[in-house]
Amino acid sequence: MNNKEFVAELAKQTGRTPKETQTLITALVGELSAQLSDENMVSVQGFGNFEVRKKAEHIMVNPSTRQRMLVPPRIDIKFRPGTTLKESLK
Amino acid sequence: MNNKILLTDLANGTATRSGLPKKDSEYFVRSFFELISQSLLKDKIVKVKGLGTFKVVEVEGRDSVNVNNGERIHISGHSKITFSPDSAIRDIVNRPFAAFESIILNDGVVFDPVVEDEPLSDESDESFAVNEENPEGIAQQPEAKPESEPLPSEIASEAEPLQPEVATDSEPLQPEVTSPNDLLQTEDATAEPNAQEMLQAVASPIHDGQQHVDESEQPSMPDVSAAGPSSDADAGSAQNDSVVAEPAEREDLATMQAETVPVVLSNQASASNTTGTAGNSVAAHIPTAAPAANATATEEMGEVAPHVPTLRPMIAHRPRYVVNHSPRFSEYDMEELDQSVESFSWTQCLLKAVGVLLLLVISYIAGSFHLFDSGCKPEPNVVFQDEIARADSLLVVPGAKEIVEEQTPDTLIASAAEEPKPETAQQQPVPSAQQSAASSRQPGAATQQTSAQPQQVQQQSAAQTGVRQTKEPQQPTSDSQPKSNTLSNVSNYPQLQGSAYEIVGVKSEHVVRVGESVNSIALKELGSKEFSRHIILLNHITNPDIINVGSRLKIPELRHR
Repeated sequence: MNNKEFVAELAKQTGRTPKETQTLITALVGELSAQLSDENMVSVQGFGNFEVRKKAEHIMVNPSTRQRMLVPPRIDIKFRPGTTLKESLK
Repeated sequence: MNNKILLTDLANGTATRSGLPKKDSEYFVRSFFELISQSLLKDKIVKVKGLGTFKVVEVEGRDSVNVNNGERIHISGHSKITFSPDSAIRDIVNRPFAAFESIILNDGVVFDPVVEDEPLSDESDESFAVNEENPEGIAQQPEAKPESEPLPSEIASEAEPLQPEVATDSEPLQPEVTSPNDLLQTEDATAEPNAQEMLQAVASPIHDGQQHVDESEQPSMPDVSAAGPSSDADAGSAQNDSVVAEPAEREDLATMQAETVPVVLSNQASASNTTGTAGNSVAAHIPTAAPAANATATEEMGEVAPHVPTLRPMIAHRPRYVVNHSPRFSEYDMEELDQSVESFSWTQCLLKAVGVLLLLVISYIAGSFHLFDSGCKPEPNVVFQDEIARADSLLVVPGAKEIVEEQTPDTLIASAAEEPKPETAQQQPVPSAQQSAASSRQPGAATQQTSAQPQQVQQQSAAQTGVRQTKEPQQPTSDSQPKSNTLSNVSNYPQLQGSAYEIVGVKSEHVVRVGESVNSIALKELGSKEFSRHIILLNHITNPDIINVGSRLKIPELRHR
């Protein structure tokens, strides 16, 4: 399901226009990223947790070329699905 | 920071951003995530612009080995949810590190952990440098002497108006300062006590925070003696012509304080942790700056900085020793400072900072006069940066100098010169020992006065070669240790870099049959195809995709590291 379909489906469920829905999604994602930037963990019941992980600087070797790269530190977003979601997958 | 944000908080945030009522917002957020999970189950993939992509990925069942007991276990196939964040949100979160980029490393770039023997090698370097430098310093000493004669009066005139100011700051010190003056006046010319006063005044604020008058006096004596006799024959030769050379000696000490400032200045540019240590050295020699922490320290630095370049030529007379010593003693001073910091008040600190600053300015003026009067050519300052670097590295090895002492117990003068140093090492815990140290310094100086200068040069160089000899055997051993370590592992079998398992032997041989691959052999023989890399390595297989039927492959015996 791509973004267009997703917005359309969400608009239908919430009874709003797709345009309205898109702005709301933008607001929601903005809030989420703001919280994650503050290194907060966003926990959504029944869905999963969004959290940030700091990755230390490390040396990576390209297996084929044997070229070594110094990979800088970075902050990654991790999503861990909740148990409800994982159970429903089975 | 590190809070757990729940759906309601998220909904509230969204409400404020979009202007939607909180209730509606919460409903929207709820249905948003609901829809994601529903369509994830239905379509296996959901793309949300700005957030990222959720995907359901099927994981095949596989055989593996239990890393603890080596048992083979089967991990059954399952599906898992992956999330790859949209580049927009990823960039927002990663903003603190956005400026970094991956760097391609060239061959030969090694990232070995910093080993402890590094300061040691520096120390041996230093001892070598001192060995080289000192004869020069001695050679320069007599040269400087005749010209420095007019100097004492200058120091006297400059120092005297200042003295009361410092004394008012450190009230208990005043009587103490005068008494050694009287003693010293019998010994030396009038200018000498003034220089001494200056130094004591500088050194005293370290101690008078504790309000122990005698303590405050005594440690300052070893402090002086530290740079005096501890600079071996230098000091001795200086005291030969005590009247003239003594002030020069003291003045060098004064410049030493100023010299620690460039150390800091250069350090601040380089690294923050080295700034800390260098800051210590400044703090100890400009003691008032220490309690006042960074604020006054940097303030002072800024003011002193302009003078520093002009001071350098003068420092070049005998720079090595002064530089090398200053950080070491500053460490000891710092310990005591730390204890006394609590009892310091800010106003006191500021007053003293001003006082010390004035002293530095005076020493600078006096020094420049000294330079012009003497007309002797200062050495080029090329070595200066090296010295700073070396002095920095020496901050780590306070005990190293004590090894030097052990090497030279036989000679009379050397031992006389040594005496204050172990004492200063114990300065803090044993104030009573300092008394003996201070008293022993004077006889030590006396013996130095009687002995001939060339003799001292010889003994000094002998002492230093002794140091070098002891240092040299230490260095190779420290170097060879990690090598031999790695050798024992690599010796018999090639090892795979970055693997949790190491090859310790050959378990068996495997005859390759039709349809087998290195992976399948590894899976069969060792339990996981992960170990194919070890087989490839052990058998020196150049192309793992092609192995000949009927060839015998050595199966490695693996051990967990």
